[in-house]
Amino acid sequence: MFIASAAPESPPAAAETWRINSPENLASDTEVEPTAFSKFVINRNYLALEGGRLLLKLHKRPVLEVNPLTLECEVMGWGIKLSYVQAGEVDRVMARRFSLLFSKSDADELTAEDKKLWLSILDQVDFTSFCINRAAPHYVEGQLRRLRPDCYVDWSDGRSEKIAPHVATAFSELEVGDSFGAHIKLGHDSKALSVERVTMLTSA
Amino acid sequence: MDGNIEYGKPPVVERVASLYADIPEELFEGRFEDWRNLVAQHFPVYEPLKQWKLGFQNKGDPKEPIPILISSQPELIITPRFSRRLSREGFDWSIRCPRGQFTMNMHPDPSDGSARRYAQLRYEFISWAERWMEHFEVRTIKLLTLHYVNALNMGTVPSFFSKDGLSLALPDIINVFMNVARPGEIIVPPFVCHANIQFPDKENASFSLQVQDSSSSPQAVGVNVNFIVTVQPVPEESSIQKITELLDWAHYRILERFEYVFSERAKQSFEPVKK
Repeated sequence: MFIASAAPESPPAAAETWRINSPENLASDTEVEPTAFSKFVINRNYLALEGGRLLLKLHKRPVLEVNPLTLECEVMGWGIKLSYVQAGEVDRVMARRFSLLFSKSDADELTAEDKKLWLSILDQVDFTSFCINRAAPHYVEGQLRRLRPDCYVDWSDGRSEKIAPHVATAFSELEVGDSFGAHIKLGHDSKALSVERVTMLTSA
Repeated sequence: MDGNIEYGKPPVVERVASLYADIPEELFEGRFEDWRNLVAQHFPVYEPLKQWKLGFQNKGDPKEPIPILISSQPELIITPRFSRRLSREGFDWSIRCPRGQFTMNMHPDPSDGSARRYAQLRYEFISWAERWMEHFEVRTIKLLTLHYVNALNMGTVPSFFSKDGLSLALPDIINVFMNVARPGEIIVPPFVCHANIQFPDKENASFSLQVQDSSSSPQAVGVNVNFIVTVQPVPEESSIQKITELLDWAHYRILERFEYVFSERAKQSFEPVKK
């Protein structure tokens, strides 16, 4: 059941008929804690939500604790228990747990137990980025001050902003001086992360 | 299998082709569900592989190394795997696609156990590799591998087994263990050998022969003879056309080694057919 290997998966290991023989005897140069073989880090830094349209960044990779007697696995700090057989689907189960608690929190329906768990999960994920990425774009108006080589926009609230090149492609049909309306998503520092549904308010 | 000879009953039980590339984790995770939906239309069984990894290092005398447990935390590696049949029913075709890797495994036809041919793998692999590269925006291939597993067991080489089925005349099948035992002596398990070959005319490629004991019990003796060709393509070789050429090149290197490694008597038992 357990595979022991000192190196990352080498190409031949991709064969279904490939065998890795576990060593029969092992030595340790340090004292081995009783839990040394029961906690496994899962190779995930993100959880995919909404079919991957939304990613939840994890501050650190989650840890799965395996009960050696029952082979039951628990995702530490997530309140998730699943059988060894289901461990391959752990990311989907974690995404579902997050979505469920987020929805309850949004509707103010968390129980006392839910709240405790939700706080534990929030400690482990980048919730601010999640909220920003999840937020619906909102309508703003502005004027294109310069398009190339760097794009600058004067927003109707008086702010000026240098727009990142990959975001600025949404303005490719505009000319300098054009006023426009658009739906934008803002990032941490109130800078535009994406621009869509651009409407020209005046034509040059 | 030198290109002019085909075998009616080759011992090949699995052919595996893989591509490796750098794919950012965010891009991979963001697009995996769409990829899963695409693949699942043709490979409907999703059974992710779980590898519970502990880290070891060999220390001490290199001749007699001691495996030492590394204190870093053990890992659970989850590898997405799609197949046409459940693994407990025996594999048919399957695809593995963890981040940065696209692997296609081709097995014998489950309906009658007959071996499939390279041409089938080539067609399917190239078709899906192209989709994989497009879906995950792969521009540069880091590594290409082609791996054939030849299983030597009672089913594939019955004439080389003793009457009781408990011993296998391995030196009569492959040229790897020749001249090790004297007449009257027998070689006993485990049968293990690993040798790599560098090609002088293609420095970015290598061939690996790996003989593994696959006996599941003293009553079920078996040996796997693995032929693995690894190519590190130069950046200009990352187009699908160049990948196809490299795959063909790797296939022909395996055919060459098949002729070298297997004895004449073994090859006769594989029922050669002149093309």
